[in-house]
Amino acid sequence: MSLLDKFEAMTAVRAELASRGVRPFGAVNEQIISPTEGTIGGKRVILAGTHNYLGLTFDPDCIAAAQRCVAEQGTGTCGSRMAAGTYAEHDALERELAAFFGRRHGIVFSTGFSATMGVPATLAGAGDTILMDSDSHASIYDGVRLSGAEVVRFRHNDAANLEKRLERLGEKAKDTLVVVEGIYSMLGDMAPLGEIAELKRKYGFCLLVDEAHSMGVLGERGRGLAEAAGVEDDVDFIVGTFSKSLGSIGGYCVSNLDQTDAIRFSIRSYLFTASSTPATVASTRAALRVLQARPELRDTLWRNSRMLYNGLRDLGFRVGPEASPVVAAIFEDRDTAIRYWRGLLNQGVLVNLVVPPGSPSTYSLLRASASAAHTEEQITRILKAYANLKLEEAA
Amino acid sequence: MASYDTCLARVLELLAPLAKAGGPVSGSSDLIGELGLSSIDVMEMIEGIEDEFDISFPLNNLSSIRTAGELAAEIARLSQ
Repeated sequence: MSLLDKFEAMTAVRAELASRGVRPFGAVNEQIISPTEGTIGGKRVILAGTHNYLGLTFDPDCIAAAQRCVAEQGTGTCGSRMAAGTYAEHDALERELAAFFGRRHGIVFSTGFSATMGVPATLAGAGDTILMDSDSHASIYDGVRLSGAEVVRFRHNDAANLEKRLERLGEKAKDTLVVVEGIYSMLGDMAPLGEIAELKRKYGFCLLVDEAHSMGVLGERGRGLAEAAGVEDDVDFIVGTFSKSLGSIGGYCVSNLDQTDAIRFSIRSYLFTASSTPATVASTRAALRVLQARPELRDTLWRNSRMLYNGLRDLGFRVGPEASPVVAAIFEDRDTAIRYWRGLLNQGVLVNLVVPPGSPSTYSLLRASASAAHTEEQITRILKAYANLKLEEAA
Repeated sequence: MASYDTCLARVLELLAPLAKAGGPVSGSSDLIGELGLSSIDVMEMIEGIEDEFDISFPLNNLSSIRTAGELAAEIARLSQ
């Protein structure tokens, strides 16, 4: 087998999709009209596949902050955080994030992936053990693999299964890193963080929570699942991204642990990449202020999320275990999922198609995301598009 | 504690309905190349094996396992 033969399977998948006239992976948004509307193939579509949970991508304050900053500080830093790429903006965002989460330390990364991959990759090393939820994001899988630690998965959202693994570790359990997510990106379900925090108190392990999909979404102040579950003191590290509720790009890690600064200078995905552009950081800072000043956005997001989740469930779709802004319809048959994806796009609704091995199991998903910026009329149109396909299928 | 033979017998039993190629499954059968299992099939099978043999199966050990026999040997080793 030659070096490039392994890509034949992917080439075949791409050709198969092209032969069906669909481009589900990398559909080009030709024009972005608003946080919830764009054009694809010259046609106006509702954006129901982004994670623009609070709808802040067109927020006037965020745009003004970015515009001001790009004019004053230029288009890029041309340096890594440790080598000339740390501006006052980065420093300020780290302090503001730490204050928002009620933690002493904050680290800002150029992408969410580099944060959620880099932190677990660095915290554990050869001779250590990591226990991770089996539905973890690809960045976490990559990070734990890079760490050199022994990596064991536990069944998704199964605290009893996690405890079995902790028991098997014996004394080693207290030095183990456990990694879970606030809201899981595929089915939109939440970690049983209260139970996991109880296990932490019993076994003493180090707990890292990825709040990428839950920051700005859960908790009285929008801090995420740890806040909503009342277990923030049990969480050692929170990681996440700016590319969802904050409408920009970048990642973060916050912690109360004194070692955080030493950890910062050990994370390769922090050290050896260019820092975020000043405009990006400025819009993120503005979005963090909006998130805190306008808690009603969370209420609107949840109203829309429940409307979408309940609507799909009532139409007879198999949906994830609980309502959240990530609303997945589950299809046992891959071809049906592809057909539905195309049918939705034809009706002006863009969602995400997820097929194995990208999905958590052998099923396929049509993954939609609700936004506070969606109108009730848009959610109704999205549901109508799904309903039409259901009717066609039954005919 | 489970012997290699016990583990192999159980692995072959679990593989039989999963093998997409349809042919006979033996200790030398390549899980992905020959039997046509996906990485998800392998992971879901291992989840069941972990419960059954009361072991934790590190992901790190998977990359060197190609055949049913190698998988059985690893289960036997972990259950010691």
